[in-house]
Amino acid sequence: MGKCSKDKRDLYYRKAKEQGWRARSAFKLLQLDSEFHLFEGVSRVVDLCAAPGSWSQVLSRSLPEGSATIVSVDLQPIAPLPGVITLQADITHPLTLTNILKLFGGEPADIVCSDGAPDVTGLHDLDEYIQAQLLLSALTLATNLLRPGGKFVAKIFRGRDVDLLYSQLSLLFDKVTCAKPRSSRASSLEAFIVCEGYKPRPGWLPESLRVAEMKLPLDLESTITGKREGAVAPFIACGDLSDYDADATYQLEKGVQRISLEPVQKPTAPPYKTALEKKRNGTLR
Amino acid sequence: MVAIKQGYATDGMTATSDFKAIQFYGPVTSLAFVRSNILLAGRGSNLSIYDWNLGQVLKEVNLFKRSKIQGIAEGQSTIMVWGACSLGFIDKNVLLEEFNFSEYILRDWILAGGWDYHGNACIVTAHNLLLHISSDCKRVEKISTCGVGCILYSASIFSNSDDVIVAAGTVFGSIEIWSSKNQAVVSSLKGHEGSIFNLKFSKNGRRLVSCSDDRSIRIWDLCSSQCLAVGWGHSARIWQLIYLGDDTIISTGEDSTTRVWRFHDGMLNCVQVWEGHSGRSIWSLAVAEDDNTVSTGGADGRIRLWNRANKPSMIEDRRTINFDDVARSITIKCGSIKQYIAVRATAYAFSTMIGYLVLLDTVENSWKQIYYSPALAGYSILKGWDDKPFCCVGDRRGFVYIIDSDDPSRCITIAPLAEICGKVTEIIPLSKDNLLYVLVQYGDGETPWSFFALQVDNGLSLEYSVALEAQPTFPIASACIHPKSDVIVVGSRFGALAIYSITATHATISASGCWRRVMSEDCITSLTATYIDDGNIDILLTSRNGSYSVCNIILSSDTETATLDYLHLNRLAKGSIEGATYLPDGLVVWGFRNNYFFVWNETLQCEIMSEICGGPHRQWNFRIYSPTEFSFVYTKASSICIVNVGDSGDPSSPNSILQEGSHGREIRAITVAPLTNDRNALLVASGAEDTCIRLCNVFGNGHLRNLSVVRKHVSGIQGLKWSTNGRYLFSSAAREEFICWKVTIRGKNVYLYPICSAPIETDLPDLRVMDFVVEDTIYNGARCYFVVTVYSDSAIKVWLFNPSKAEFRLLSIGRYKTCCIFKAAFYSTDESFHLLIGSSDGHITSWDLSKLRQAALCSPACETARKIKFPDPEWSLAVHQSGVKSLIIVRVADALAHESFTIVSGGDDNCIAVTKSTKRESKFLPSKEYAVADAHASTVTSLAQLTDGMVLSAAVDQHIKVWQLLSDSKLSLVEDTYTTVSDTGCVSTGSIVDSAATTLLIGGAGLAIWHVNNFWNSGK
Repeated sequence: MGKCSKDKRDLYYRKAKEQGWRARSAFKLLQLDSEFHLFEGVSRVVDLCAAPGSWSQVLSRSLPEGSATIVSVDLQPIAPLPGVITLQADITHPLTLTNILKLFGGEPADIVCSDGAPDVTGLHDLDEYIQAQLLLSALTLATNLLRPGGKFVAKIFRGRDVDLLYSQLSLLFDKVTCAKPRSSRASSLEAFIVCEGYKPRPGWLPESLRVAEMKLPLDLESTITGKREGAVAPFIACGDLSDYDADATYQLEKGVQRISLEPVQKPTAPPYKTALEKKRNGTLR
Repeated sequence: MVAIKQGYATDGMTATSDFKAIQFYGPVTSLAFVRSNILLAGRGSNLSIYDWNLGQVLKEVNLFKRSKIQGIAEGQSTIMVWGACSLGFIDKNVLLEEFNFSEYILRDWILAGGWDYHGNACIVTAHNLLLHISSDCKRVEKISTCGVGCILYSASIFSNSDDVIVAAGTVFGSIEIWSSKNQAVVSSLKGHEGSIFNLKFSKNGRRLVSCSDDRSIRIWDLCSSQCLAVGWGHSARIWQLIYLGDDTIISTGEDSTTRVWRFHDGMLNCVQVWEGHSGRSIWSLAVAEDDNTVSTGGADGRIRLWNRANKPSMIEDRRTINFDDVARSITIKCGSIKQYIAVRATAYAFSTMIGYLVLLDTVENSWKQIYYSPALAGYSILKGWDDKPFCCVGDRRGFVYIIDSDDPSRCITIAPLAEICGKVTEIIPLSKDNLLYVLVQYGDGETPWSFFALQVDNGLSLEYSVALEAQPTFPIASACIHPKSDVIVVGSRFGALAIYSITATHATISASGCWRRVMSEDCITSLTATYIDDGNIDILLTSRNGSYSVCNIILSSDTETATLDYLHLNRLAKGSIEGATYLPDGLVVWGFRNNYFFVWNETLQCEIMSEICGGPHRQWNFRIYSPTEFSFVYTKASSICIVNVGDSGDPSSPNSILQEGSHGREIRAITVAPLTNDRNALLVASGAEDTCIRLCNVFGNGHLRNLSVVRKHVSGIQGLKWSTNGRYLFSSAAREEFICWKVTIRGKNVYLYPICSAPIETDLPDLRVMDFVVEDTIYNGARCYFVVTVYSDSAIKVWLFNPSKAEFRLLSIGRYKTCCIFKAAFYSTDESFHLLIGSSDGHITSWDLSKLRQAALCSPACETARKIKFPDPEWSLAVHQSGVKSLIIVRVADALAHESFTIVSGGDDNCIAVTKSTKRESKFLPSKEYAVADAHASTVTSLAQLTDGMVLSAAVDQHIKVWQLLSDSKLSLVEDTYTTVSDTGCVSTGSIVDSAATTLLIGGAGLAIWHVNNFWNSGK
């Protein structure tokens, strides 16, 4: 979360800096918790795609000190956080599962959450697909980590194939809800899927979801009438109506001077860093 | 109850008998050249087939139900197409005929397709699987993997006699090269940062080119796994690459440029840059068999053709003349060159320092003297006509010389009208029919300007001469003449405009009107007159500040006075404008930007030519001989460069637009005008994230004709609405931008002039005018508009827009809460007037504005009154769980309708709700009537009423549904179809004159045009 012109515009962005959150998305988890009481009786938590670590911050601040083990996983390095074990690993790698379970002393997790999102290209179909794949990877890991009755919370894009995702998830959980925190802009496709009451399916293997993916049909003609089995998850808006609104524009109180706040956590090096440098010194042409 | 019909209505395919998608203008996601003349394009779910040599569409066919066509690969006898998880095959022999097509749906996303050495199809999926398809294209014979299963963003295949090699671009920046035979990774190429978006093998398979999130292009040697070179140049992400045989690479990407790269001596250098798409991202790229013709498809829906050899259909004849060579060529000692003009496409006239006028014939490469006068030594000014081969020279004593360059014996010398006038400082040559006109200004600013009319027959004779009263501080820069009468309009270097009627017989004619700072205080670089009737002309003005406008000037019957009215004002996104003209295919403007000269077709939004000349500070001359022939001459480093561009007569048209498109970013507002400029078409305004407003015509066959693109907003458009009478268009955006545009229809042209903007009161860049409502009304006997704007900070502002004063008068300010207001609507009875809003807290709220409106419109005192108090709401009701994203008031054929209003709203919560506001004893009260909680799978972004009781909804899930509003206020689903427009955001409907069908426009990431047969009316 750097310093940019957005500094002036989004209230949650500013509040995040003021309250020391590493990203404004912290408010999304806080508002999801206020609706679903996600953290009640939780002692083992996994935060996937955790960088820069704002959800882990929420977890460590919300759970009583010493009462819970929080493991944060990301491919990118996460700056250390008190009370949080950070793990730089690929969530699709089989070793990652083993390593997390080791940290939990072999006990299953109570909740697995993921705020991960891919590089958005602008081709909506592709972006939604990649997001769904990311979610499935997180779900694969979650199904191997969660205790029966455990919870899974993840970001989704509410696009054209969201109904398929709902039907897949409802096979694994008692209750699936699509939640939109007030801190998430209405103009964005983003929403969160809150899955409660994990019900393990007999014979479930770590690769099960992936295997299902890989089972591509060999007889192409049998796929012609590919029937879509969609479902619509009930929608819940979360956060109090009196909460700040991500779509609204707030005037600063009179007399308050606009101060530019330093980012809590400087952004990790973006891939296009070199290109930006070249642009700045005029060698990009 | 009507049975629910489900279907897919993608372009070209009838979903049900009542919904028919006609056209789609949106991201072109794939392109492929087939045979010598065919270009295939994936436009949404449809395949368009073009003959690119003829520039014609041969066929449009729907292939997939939902998936967009993202790839096309030509095999020996079969064409493979794919997109998302869909795959299909077309027999090449029946491509142009009716053919059967089966859509196969795999469970994995297809990233790449190709044909192996033996002619069998292969595809690579996002999970890094290689599928070998049987030769009859009906079965997957084998699935190969390499053990690395991470998600890919790109893939490419290369096949030799015994293996298929896959290049897999991962999301982690590495490229895995693996063998299908060994099912193992051969090498891993590391160097890029971020996701690999595209990669391509060289033709011999020894090298690979790749691009990634890091915005670089890398060339790899596959034997050594070494990166050979890195290319930088794109300012955003790169999406597509082509590796040509001669180590040439072509790339396109998010910055909407196409670049040609040469790999040479270990360096990868960008050698050409083509810009020709608007908005963000070019998604598809293909090259023809000749390796020369390149096609690009953008997010703007356009398909363009480019010629890599820089040998466009326009023949470019360029030559450079060195001043020393000129001196040597001229047999007579003429002195050094002072000025030059083009007199014909092949001839240029030069004035020299010692008083000669010489002619260069570029065909024979010969020079000859055409005029000499000692009076022209030391000082002279040379001008010419665009359509006549005459030269006009002025001297230091105020004399003007006119010489026919074809026959120098035909010449005339005209003495100044005043005795003392100083030197000739400006000459503007004009012409009409068989007459030449010359407007002359002199060094002494007070001397009346001279206006000479000359008859051109066998000789050259002065028809008449008049003196025009000089305007103070008015250095003449441009002029034009009324096409039917002797009225001239003159423009100055300081942005002033003056009009003279030459019909009067006074010794010195005074101006009928003079206006200062007409567009700005910058130079009016050109003027073009269009006839309306005698004493009434439209003038096209161009300004050095990069704007152009159209004004209407009306002379009073006694020609003593004149009035000026703006019709159109627009700013180019590029540089200065030096001139403009109307050509058959649109308005063409030219000017300078940075170090180059450009010619731009503003109607088609495309560049016709550009020349890096070093910038505007030099002598130059641009002439148009015909719509396809023009020349640009300029001085650079003591040389004269001549660029002649002409039609080669070649029917193939590279560097052209094969397919027209629309906005290059997501369309956020679309609205059909109540008027039209063409009986056969709708007039449509659309606004997008690209901050532009576009006007276009939509024809019965779904074809689009772009009329103009206006740029005034600095942020993405939020709302766009016409006044009921169609005379004004209102637009809103962030930064509190709210603009009223005056609409003028002139034949097929539609002009938009930003008549006024609402005052901006805060410095919050994010303060968006989310929506607004406009009511046509009468104030003080004049037509006025009662306007309410709603804001993202919960503010509600009430305005009276008075066109005659061109002002928005703020009547009142209200505030809802602290959340964002998304939508607003009016409803009224004979006695009362109400405002309705939908906000981000899921509430619908109503205000009785009767008193406020009464006070504003009826009491003369309110002219002085500062502000009227905004009332408290009459009711507020929680209808949705989160934001109310769409809201309409539905007409119900009901006797009670006057006392009860039905509100249909759609929310971010997927729900469509029916609410009523009903009058109960003098007060309107709300009632929740009905709600469909899961009406859509995601945000309901738009609602529209089709006919009485029929409501159409559009949502981000890309479904378009029709609901029947039953008498008990329940909603019954009658139609459910799918649109190829993603990020579906806005809809509008209209009917073309004499057409039975309603045209439905759907905007989002693209624009879809549908026909809706009003079957509900026929009682079916």
